[in-house]
Amino acid sequence: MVVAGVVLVTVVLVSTAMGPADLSLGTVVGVLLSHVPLLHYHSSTSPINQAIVWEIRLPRVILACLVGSMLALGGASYQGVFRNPLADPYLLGVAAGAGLGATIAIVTPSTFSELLPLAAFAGGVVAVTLTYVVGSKAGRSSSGSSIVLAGVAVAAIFTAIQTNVQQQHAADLQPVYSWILGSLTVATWSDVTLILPYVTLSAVVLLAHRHLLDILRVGEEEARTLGVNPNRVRLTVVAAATLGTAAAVSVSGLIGFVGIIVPHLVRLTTNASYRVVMPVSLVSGASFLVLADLFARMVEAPGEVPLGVVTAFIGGPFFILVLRSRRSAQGVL
Amino acid sequence: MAHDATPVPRDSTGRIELHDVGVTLDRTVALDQVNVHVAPGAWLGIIGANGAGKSTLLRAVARLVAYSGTVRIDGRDTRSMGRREFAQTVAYVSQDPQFPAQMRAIDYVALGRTPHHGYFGTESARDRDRSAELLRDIGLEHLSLRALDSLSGGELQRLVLARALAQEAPILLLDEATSALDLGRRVDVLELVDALRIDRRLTVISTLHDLTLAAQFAEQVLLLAGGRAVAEGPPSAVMTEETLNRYFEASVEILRSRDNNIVVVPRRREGMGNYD
Repeated sequence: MVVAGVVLVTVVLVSTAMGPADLSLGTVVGVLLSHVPLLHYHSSTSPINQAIVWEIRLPRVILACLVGSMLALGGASYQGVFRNPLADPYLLGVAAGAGLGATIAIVTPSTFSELLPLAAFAGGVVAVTLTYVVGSKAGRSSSGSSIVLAGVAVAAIFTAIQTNVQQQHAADLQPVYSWILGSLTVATWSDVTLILPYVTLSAVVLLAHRHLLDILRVGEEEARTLGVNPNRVRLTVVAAATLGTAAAVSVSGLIGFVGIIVPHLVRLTTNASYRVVMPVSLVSGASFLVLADLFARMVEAPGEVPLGVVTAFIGGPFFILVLRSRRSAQGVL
Repeated sequence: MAHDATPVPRDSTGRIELHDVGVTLDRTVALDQVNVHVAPGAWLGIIGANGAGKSTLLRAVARLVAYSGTVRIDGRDTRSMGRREFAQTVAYVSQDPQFPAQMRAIDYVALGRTPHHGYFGTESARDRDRSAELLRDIGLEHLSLRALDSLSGGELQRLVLARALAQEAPILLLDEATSALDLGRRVDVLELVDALRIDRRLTVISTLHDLTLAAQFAEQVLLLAGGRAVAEGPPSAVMTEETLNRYFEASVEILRSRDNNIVVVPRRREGMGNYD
């Protein structure tokens, strides 16, 4: 945990310093200190560089932290609740719903670009609510498999509608695609403040359940004989993880694999207890996405590779390694 | 709530009374109007053929299946207890417990402390100490940091017991806790249960397939057949050749060992195996 924290701080500082305008680490620290209230520290850096750090780079890095930690924590939670090593934060249709919401916002004339995250968030929440209603009607399966199947069905329907809307507005294909591929290019402080409450709420609820996720690992009946209601734990965790994830993707677009890579890496290096996996995934997820985003904006500078492409490019091969490594997969169960 | 290091002695707690307990599973009657009383600190062995309702009876007492009738513990209807309160009163070991491969032995035992902390609570230092003590009691303290998938069947079985004991409940329900073990380990685990029962004044209800072991460990046996209680009492009274032959549809012979324990010997079907 301490190691993960130190890595995160380092990654944030380095990542803020790196970019087309080369800044020193000292400059970054100086600008950061000058924004600490009550410290009255004045950075000697030029106003331009101050603006680059504070208005351009830092919101982007902080947003990457929020999105990355939410996706990683959400992934660990879903894997624990469904006891499936391949479960990810998009399992219940969040991605498809957010995709539809974003597409509608993009193709509708005269919508403000600020509405895009809200539309994506609304779409994600609607899709997941639908999944719940269908899944809980379909059966009272204790393992939650009916809700996963409902998620697949809802995602298919939303994706179909989204594709249809997209085809009817072929002129807007480009912005729709760039949203779907995921990017933090235009991150601002307002994006940060938009998702911060949801991500915080979600993270607090999920971290509070980490001990209960360990109890679910020994089985449904054991949990009940230990005085825990497994259905209530599952419902609360899934609801919290979904809310946070929907908020995260609404500003970042669909960034895949973070929710699978990070928790599994954490399991490989710790004792796989959710009490450890959850907080360490939260911190490592932030580092991971900051690094991935740094890679996305540096590799073809001054152009950018979509962030979702970077995480998928790392995620694909990693996925194969996870499948080969029994240790990590077992850690979920 | 008491936070002493030693468990508070419980005088005459752990009395269980079942009144007309019935369970219907998939529209078939699995358990029919069972009445039985178990004194505090006693060991009740439930015996019977496959499908007689042994596990169902334990599961009803553990509140894992819906049942009719009432189960009272120290005079209180268990339906009136909250989840955590019930988990502090009754500990249950299932037929096939699940062992997360990479969970450490000490963490597994510590899960048994769950009813003693709040919904979001985590373990206190005291919970840690209790778990470590239990590992020592069952003789596994040297394996405390080992992952569960590196332990043997006998070690795991003892670990499940330790987890159940960590609940510090006066009542322990064991569903075939020893069926996966070899003869020696089986006796070891039952001896451990017996020692802990006497030491901690636990009331034990267990299902037992092995009738000879049931007769040696249980002070009181309940024979179930087709979901009904057909005989109850001390092993020597219930386990007669006539009764066992009838309800197990078998042909058994009851012998006495050198120390006068009941030994149940199954015999081959008539007309089979006579080659001379």
